[in-house]
Amino acid sequence: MRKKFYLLLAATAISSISLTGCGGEDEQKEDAYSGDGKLAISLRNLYFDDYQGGDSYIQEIERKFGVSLSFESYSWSQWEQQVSGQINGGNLPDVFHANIDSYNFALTYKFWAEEEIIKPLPSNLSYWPNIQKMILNTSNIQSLYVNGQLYGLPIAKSTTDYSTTFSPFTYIYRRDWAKQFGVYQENDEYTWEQFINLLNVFSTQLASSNRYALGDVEWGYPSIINFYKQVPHCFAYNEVTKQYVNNYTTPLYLQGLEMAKNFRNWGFYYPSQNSAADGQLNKEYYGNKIGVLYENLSYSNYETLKTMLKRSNSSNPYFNVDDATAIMKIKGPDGKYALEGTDNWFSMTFFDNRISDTKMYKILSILDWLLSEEGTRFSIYGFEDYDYIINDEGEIELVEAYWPKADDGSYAPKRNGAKYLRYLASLGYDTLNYDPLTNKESVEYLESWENEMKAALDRDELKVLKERPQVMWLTTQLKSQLSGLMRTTALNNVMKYVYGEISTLDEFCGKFGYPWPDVLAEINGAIGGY
Amino acid sequence: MAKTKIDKLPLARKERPGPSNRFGGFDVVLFIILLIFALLIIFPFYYLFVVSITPQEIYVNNPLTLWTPRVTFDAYKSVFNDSRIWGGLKITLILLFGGTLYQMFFTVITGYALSRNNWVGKNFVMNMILVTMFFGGGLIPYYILIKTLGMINTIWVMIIPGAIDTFNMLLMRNYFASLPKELEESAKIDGANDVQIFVKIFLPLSLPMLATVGLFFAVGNWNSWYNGMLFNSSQNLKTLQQVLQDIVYTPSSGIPNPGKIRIDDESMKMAAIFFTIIPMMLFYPFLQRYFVKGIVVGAIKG
Repeated sequence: MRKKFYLLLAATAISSISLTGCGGEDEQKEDAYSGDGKLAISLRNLYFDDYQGGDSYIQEIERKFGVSLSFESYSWSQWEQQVSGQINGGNLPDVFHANIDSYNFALTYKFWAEEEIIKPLPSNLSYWPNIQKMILNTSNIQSLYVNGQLYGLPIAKSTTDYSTTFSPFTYIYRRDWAKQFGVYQENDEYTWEQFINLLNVFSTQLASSNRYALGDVEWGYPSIINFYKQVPHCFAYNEVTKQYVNNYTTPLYLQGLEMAKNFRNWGFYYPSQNSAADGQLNKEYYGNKIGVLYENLSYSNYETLKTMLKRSNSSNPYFNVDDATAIMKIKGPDGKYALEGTDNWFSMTFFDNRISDTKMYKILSILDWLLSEEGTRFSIYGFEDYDYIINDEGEIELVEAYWPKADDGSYAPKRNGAKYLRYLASLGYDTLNYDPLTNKESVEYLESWENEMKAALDRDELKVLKERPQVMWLTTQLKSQLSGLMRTTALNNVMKYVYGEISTLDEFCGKFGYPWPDVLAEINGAIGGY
Repeated sequence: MAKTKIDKLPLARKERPGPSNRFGGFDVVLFIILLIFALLIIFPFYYLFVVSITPQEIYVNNPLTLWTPRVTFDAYKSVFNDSRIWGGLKITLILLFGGTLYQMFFTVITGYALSRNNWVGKNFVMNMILVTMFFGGGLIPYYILIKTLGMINTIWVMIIPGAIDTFNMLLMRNYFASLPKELEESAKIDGANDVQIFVKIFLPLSLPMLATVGLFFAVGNWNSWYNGMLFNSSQNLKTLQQVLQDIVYTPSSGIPNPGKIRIDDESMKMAAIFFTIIPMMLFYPFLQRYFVKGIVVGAIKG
């Protein structure tokens, strides 16, 4: 009897505690004002790093717009949990940020919108022309509308060039080794045969010193299949049957899989590739252990690789990092380059649904100004006639006293809160070119590569791997619940095949039982046929 | 003058090794096994230290090394010059001393109260506490509770909710219960009240268990990061472990460039890790003898 009583009591206690979370918190947040009468706005973003506001640049923006801004950052390794905790706990800051690169974000976004967790942008954005322009230029923007409203601000990678449709996930290699071993090709351009020959020569020449020809960043393995497959992830589209099919069992994917296995058997790949820790392959590359590395060569990653490679070879006075390493331009067996497709944004700024319209308008006004020429200049250079002057030729000249230089002649780090704030609207790839803190050589080099790829796309020499937006943003039940798991399981089987744990392609294809047919049937039922 | 014939003095009788202290073949094998085991445990710390004093260009070219041809303490200079580390250390030290004392206080008095037989409802309270070892209310209700209590973005969220740890409280309770009841009875005859009995008799007799539980709490507080990560968003409230995570974890893919790109060498990461583990490593051996004794004693009586 006593046991039953305790059990009942415990169950009641647990239920009542658990149900605490079920209460809605739909009330409006009352606008709060700082002591000097400025509207208080709380901001939380992944890119704020350890910035906490309070510098003269932010003070100027606060004065100009009559606001008081508080900055808080998410942790890179736990931001999803932090966002989720704040949403479920009803503790969102006024403005927050989430990366939309998660494979299965569509349903979450729709849920946030329908449950009124996030606030829609005003339908008429003409009052904020820079924001309006940015949104109009956002690729695939229709996918973000829920019931005719846009529930957040897609953060542009660049506000001056919206044309990029591919990611810089590609190969960087040791050009100096290629030259040394006599396999270098002019302008770093390689046909498929030349690429295989280079890997062959690298693996032969490097084997005695425990170095390897090829490595993929952990999430990219086996990258070599990119030259064969049709889409990056689960759902390919069959143009003949007008149906979505399992990408991993298409003939093209299976060809690529066979080639990935060959690459491993031929000894091209770094041996522990399948169990490599986060960042390990990068370390191996700048540690002079790998000849070719597949990586996301964004400016920051590229610059990091170069800097670390330079540090690793600092004892060699003849080492020139720009000669030693370069992006490899490889054409696959079909004679085309292959890159993953992308939208011109991958993260969004959201607004807590409980904030007032006044506050939202204020935030939009600040962001609109930061996207203007004046605001952009302020966020990059600082105060006119203080941090910089405009000379008689109309050019910007930095004032040395406020832009001190380091020993190597580059500008010393300088913090400007306006730049952090601008990340709520743009990642600032457009400002890399004239930002005093970036390495211009690297920026120009990456731009020239991008332009070459754009030209190749125009000539139909670049294959862009991209899932169709219809299926990417589909929010049907099974697809939303299971596609993440399906992808993980499929990649596991890919690894097993490449490493010989699955011996035949038939056996590999046999691994795609439930839930694949059900999910594909659901997708085709919803959007198949067009 | 009579000479003392030293060589004639009777020699002290050599103690013959008995069967219990003979160092035989089995002991050699045991010694070797334990030595290997000890090396396996010590090596990661040693390696961590070696990497932390190795220049980047040497480390990346030869990451598996037993010693570095060139020693540099630049990484430690970077760590000591990093304001994030000192900010994190400040918070962690507050947790270590304030949090541990606070947790000890509540855990010990609860354990003591539940070890006494003289009050109504003891079993009910005991069972209610035990339930929390097996069931929790869930993360979201917990979040809402913390928010309702106004502890979001405060240091209190990392201290107050952990007042009583059920496992440690049970250890304390069992230990107190294992002490002779006659001690309490004779103290009462001498006129001591309950507080005096607890403070002057039971606490001094419980030092091994107090040290054990104190060590558990101290290590837990030193390693604390989860509540801070979930409930606090201010940079000023980050614990040392959160700062360490920021330093060690390097994000990839398309991050923007707010200032100049900050690139931490592996040695800097290792130095930061070493810096965060060294206090506990130094602290632990001094309490270890209490620690082992306390665990064993507390486990005997249920």
